[in-house]
Amino acid sequence: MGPMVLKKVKIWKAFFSNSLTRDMEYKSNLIGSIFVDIIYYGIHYLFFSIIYSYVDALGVFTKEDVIIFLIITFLSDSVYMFLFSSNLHGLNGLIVRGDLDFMLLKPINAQFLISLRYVRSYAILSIIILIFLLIKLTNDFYGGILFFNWILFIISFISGITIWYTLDFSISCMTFWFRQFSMGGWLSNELLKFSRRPDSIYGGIIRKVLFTAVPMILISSIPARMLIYSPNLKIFFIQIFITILFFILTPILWRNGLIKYESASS
Amino acid sequence: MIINVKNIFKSFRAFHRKAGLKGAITSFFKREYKNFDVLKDINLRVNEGEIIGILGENGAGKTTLIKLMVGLLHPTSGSIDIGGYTPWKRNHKFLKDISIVMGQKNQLWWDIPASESFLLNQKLYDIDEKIYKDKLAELSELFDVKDKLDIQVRRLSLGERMKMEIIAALLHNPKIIFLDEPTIGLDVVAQSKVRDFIKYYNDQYNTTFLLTSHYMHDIQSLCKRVFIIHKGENLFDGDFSNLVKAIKPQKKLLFTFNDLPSSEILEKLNNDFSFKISNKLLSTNLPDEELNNLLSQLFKLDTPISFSIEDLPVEDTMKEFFTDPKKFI
Amino acid sequence: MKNYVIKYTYIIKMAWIHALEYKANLYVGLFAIFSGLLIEYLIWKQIFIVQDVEYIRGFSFRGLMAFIFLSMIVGQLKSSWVTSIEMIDEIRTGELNKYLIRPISFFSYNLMMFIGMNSIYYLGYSVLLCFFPFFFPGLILVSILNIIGFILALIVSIYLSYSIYFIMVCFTFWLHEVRALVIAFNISNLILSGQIIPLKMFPASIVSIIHFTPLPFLVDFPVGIATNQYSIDVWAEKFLFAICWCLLMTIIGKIIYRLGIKQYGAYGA
Repeated sequence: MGPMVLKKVKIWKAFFSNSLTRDMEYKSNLIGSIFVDIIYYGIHYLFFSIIYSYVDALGVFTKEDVIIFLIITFLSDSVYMFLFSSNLHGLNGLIVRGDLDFMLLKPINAQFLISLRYVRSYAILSIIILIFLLIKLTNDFYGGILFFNWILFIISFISGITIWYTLDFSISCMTFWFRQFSMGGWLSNELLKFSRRPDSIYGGIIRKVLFTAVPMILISSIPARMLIYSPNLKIFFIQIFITILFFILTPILWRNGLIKYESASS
Repeated sequence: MIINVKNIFKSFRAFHRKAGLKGAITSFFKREYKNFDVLKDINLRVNEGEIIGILGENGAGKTTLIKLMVGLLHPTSGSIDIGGYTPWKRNHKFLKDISIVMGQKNQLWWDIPASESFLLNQKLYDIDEKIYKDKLAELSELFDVKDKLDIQVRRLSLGERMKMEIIAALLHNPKIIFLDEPTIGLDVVAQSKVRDFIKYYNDQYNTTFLLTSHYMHDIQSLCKRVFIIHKGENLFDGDFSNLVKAIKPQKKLLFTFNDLPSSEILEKLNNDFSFKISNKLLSTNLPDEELNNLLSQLFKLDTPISFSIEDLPVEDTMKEFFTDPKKFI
Repeated sequence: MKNYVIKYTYIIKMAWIHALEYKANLYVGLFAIFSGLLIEYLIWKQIFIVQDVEYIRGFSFRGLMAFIFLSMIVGQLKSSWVTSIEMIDEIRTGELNKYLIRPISFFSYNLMMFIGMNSIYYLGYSVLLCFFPFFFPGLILVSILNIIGFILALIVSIYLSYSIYFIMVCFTFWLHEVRALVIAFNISNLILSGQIIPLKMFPASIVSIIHFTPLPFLVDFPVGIATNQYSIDVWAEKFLFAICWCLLMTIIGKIIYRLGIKQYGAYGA
């Protein structure tokens, strides 16, 4: 197990090196991406500013809580973009054109290769800035956060990213069955909308669904709660359990998808 | 590593609809699917160190067979055993022993130098540092691309890109190499280099090569044995030169008269043999036997200034073959 | 003129046939609208409950939901950012050549393709809109005049949105990475055109800035007509402004395209 993990780390480092080399060729991409990030963060902030001009809180989330929630959302966006989004959103194209071939022929777990092959190296800048902002603002708003909360937050955050990955991956794999599922990226984004609002707006059956079957609440809201509210170990462990369950299903889906793969003509 | 393909069947399902708006609207609500049998009962055994050509017209099933052998596809029925491995189970040890070069697809990243992609392959295939360096030096020397390794792949010519693709495919010393139209789009010099390289590599390392190509020069110069697929079925498996002989290829005769016979005589001869005359030059393409008959008749008429008999390019022979393969086998 | 109409009508038809291959697009589009509406419903329900009022900025809760629902539909119908990305790639990779060597306009061809590809949504959402008067009686499309006004304003919105994106696309002739600009505009106009929150709900300072741009005519204007936010005497003035923006964007687009085509190197294809 240890040597296998070490090998994968080494390979990921090679992915990162490849991707960084490529990204350095196109400096304008870096500027473009920073520009888009600024607009994206600004627009989301504007949205909540307008909402909070009518209320002081959405459920338990005050304006300060929502700002922290937003930063965590942006941070999970940046980490996800860094690791996965370039890969999974291209999976439909790879399957349809038969370009998956070379990836399947490498002596490495194909799901690992397909999920992590391209690293969006310039997302690191956003990640660093957002981590800095998160630490600063939590200090400013709450006078500091307990170390235990930080630990729960980090684990919960990683768990949230993993959930996002499993959902995105599952949707991308639909191309194996539908032959062409270019709408997968759009569908993922629409589902993700549910994670970009604080979970306190969801109630009843909707909340149950967004906590379990389509666990979008677990991506940003729960990590935010772990950080800024008193530790809720019940929710924490439910999140971990659901993450592991979803993650285990992905290789099963992948293997079944490969049986359907037709490797488009030469 | 021996390749054993037994009773392989492969079919695909595709939806079809009539052209036009009506067809599009109908298919929006109800789709009709058709099954296409791409491979029917294919059997093939390849021994270690062979170079075998897989031939067939477009859509015959050549690439599908290759993809089954490397494990990209699952067969509808039948089995394939390569060195004890079932390809579609994608055992990592099996994947380290094989490689594929596809003339119409690239594995190298466009925007970075080939050397970067090679480094990644080194990690993926667990190639020892010294072995990797030696192998890269050997291959880049053979292909004369040492000075191109650090140039972005997209800035290389097609021939250079193909050389880099082949290097990437060979760095890990595979025992079996599948080449799917490796010389497509290359100029004659580059094609020749690739062919020479394959011969050298096979001699040196006893690597098995399975090659598909529409260029008969590739097949003729590399493959003693060919496996022909026609409409998904195995049509021929054997010696390429025997196949060519079986087709009874034509030869080209050029006969320059010293003294042109009268037009009546030539017309009478033309009734028995097809030929063209321009000035004093007679030219024709005929099978061996007919050609010998014609030649003996011509010698009775005149002593030529010159004459020559050439084999037609094997392309022309195979073109005739593929027009109606069952006529010859 | 007749040939022009025949040529570009045929392009719409071809795009329509192509679009019908992808019925999943319609389902995802519908999901996008309903999921977006659900989220807005939940947020505004809380706001109305907390504030304990019947109207906020002139909107009842049902009226607000009707507005947002229709805004999301209009927002989807007018958004040509995917077409724009494809156009950017065509300029970058040299695929523009295929327009330059044929008697077709890059602008018109892609506009017709965009309309044709969206045909599946026009059909689907038209069916949906037929049910609106039952879900939101008295709030949406209350008269034939509203329906006609809405359709006309929607046509203007589609054209205006496309021509704005076209201007950005033309910058590809000079800058390599214009995609970021298109994406940034797409993200920002989601909010600033009133697609998610009606412009009436915005702070006055922000609204006054937005009114100097063509953004209000992309979503707020057609939806405002459909939901009777604007009286008929205001329509003429607003339509005039909208058409002026269309003309301005078209002229700017043409100028930038002509300047850009001189730069074009026809690399790649």
